[in-house]
Amino acid sequence: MTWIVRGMVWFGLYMFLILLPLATAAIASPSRVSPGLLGEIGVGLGFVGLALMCLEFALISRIKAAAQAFGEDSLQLFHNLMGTVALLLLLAHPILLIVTGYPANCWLNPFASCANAITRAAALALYALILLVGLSVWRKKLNIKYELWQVTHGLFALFVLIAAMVHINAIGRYTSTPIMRAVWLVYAILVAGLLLYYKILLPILSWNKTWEVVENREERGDARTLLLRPVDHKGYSFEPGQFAWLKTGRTPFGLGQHPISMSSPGDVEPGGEVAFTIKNLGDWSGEEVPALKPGDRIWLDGPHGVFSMDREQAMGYVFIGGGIGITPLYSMLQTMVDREDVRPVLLFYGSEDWEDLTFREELDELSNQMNLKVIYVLDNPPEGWEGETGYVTADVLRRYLPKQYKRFIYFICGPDPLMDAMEEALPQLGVPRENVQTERFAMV
Amino acid sequence: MHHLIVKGVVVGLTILLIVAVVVFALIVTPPPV
Repeated sequence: MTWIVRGMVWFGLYMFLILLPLATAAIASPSRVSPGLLGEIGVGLGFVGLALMCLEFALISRIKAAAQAFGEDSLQLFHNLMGTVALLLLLAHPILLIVTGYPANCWLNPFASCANAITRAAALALYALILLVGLSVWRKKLNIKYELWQVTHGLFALFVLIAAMVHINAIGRYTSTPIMRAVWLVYAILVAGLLLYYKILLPILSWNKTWEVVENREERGDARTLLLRPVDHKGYSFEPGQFAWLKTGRTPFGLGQHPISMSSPGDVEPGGEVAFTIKNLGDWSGEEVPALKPGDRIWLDGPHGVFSMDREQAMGYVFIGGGIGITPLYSMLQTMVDREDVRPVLLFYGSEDWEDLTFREELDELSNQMNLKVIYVLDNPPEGWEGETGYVTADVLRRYLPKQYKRFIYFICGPDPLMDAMEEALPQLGVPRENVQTERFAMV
Repeated sequence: MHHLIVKGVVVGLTILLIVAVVVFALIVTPPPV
C-alpha cells in the first residue's frame, strides 16, 4: 500500500470517528424536547468537539502505521491546530445554548446556588480546556519548563475528558439511548487504551532495553553529541534522517521525553552504536545532557519519522539546514558515503556565524568523499568572508542550483523562519511541492 | 508533509464539521407546530 493510500485510510478513519457521535445522535431518539435549531447546533458542536478531544490522544500516541503516512511533525502540528479548533467548538457549545435560554449563571459559575453536578462538570471541563490550550500556545512565553508542561498537559487533557463524559452522561438527553451510550463507551475505551499503551505498556516494554552512554562530546554551535550503545539487546537500525524520543532518569516512567534526530549513519548492524546531537536550549538540553557521563543509562523510543532519503529516490538531492537542523541531513550524508552513493547533493547550511556551524569540519571532510557541495550562509560573517551572507533565500538557491534542479528532492530541516521561507521560495522556483520534504525540529 | 497542506486540511475539515453540525441540527430539530 502506498503512503498516499495509507494516509487516506487513516484520515478516513479519523473523519469517521469524529462524525460517529453526531451521526448516532441523528438516528437516536432523545427522551426530552428539542432546544430548537440553534440549541441543537450547540449540542452538535459539543459532540464534535468532544470527539476531536478524544482523538487528540490518538494523534500523538506514536502509532507508527499512522505516523509513517504523514510524518510525526505534521501529526503534531495537526494535533496542535485541531486542539484549538476543538476549543473553539466547545466554547461555541455553551454560548449557543445560553442564547437559546439556558441560564448562564448556573452553567458558567460552578459556585452558583443553581449549579449542580451536571453544570459544574461542564464548567470545569471548559475552564480546564481553556487552560490546557492556553498553556500549550503560550508555554514558551510563560517560560514553563517542557517537562512540567508535558505532565500538566496530560493531566488537564484527562480531566477535561472525564468531566465532559460525566456531563454528557448525566444530562442524559441523547445519552439516554443505549446506542449513544455505547458510542461514548467506545471513545472512553479508546482513550484509556491509548493512555495504557503510551504511558504504561511502552515504558514496561522498554524497561530492559537501556542504552549506555559511550561518549558525550562537545560540538560547535553549543551542542553535544551522545554516542550510545545498546545494553544486552540488539538496538535498532534506522533510515537516515529519522529521530527517537530520548528519556533520561532512573526509570522509563519518569517525566519528559525529547525528540532528537540521529546524527550517525543509518544501516546500523545489530548491537551497533547510535549518536544523537543535541543543542543547548536550556533546561534538559543545557542541564541534564552535559552532565551525562560514560556508563550512564538512557531509554530510547524509536526510530520514528518519515524525513529520510530512503523514502524519496531521486537523481540528486538538495539539503537545506539551519542550526541544529543539520543533524538529520548529516546522518543522510554519512549514509551516502557508506553506501558509496555517487548522486549529487547540494547542502545549503545557514547559521549565525562561522564558529557556530555544527559539523563544519566533518562536512568539509565528507565533501572530499562524495559528490557534495556545501554552501554556508552566515548571518554574521567573519571579516573577509566571501561566501553567502544573510539567510537562505530563493536568490541564494538560484545561484547554485543545477539545471535539472526541478527533478531533485529537497530536504529541509531547521528553525521555523527558515522552514516557512523555503516552503514559500521553492514553489516560486518551480520545484514541485511533492519534491519538498520538511521536518520541524521545534515540533513540541 | 508540507505544513501549508496540514493547515489547509485543518481549515477544510473545520468547515466540513460545522456544515455537518448544521445538517445534524436540521435533521433533529422538529418542525414548528
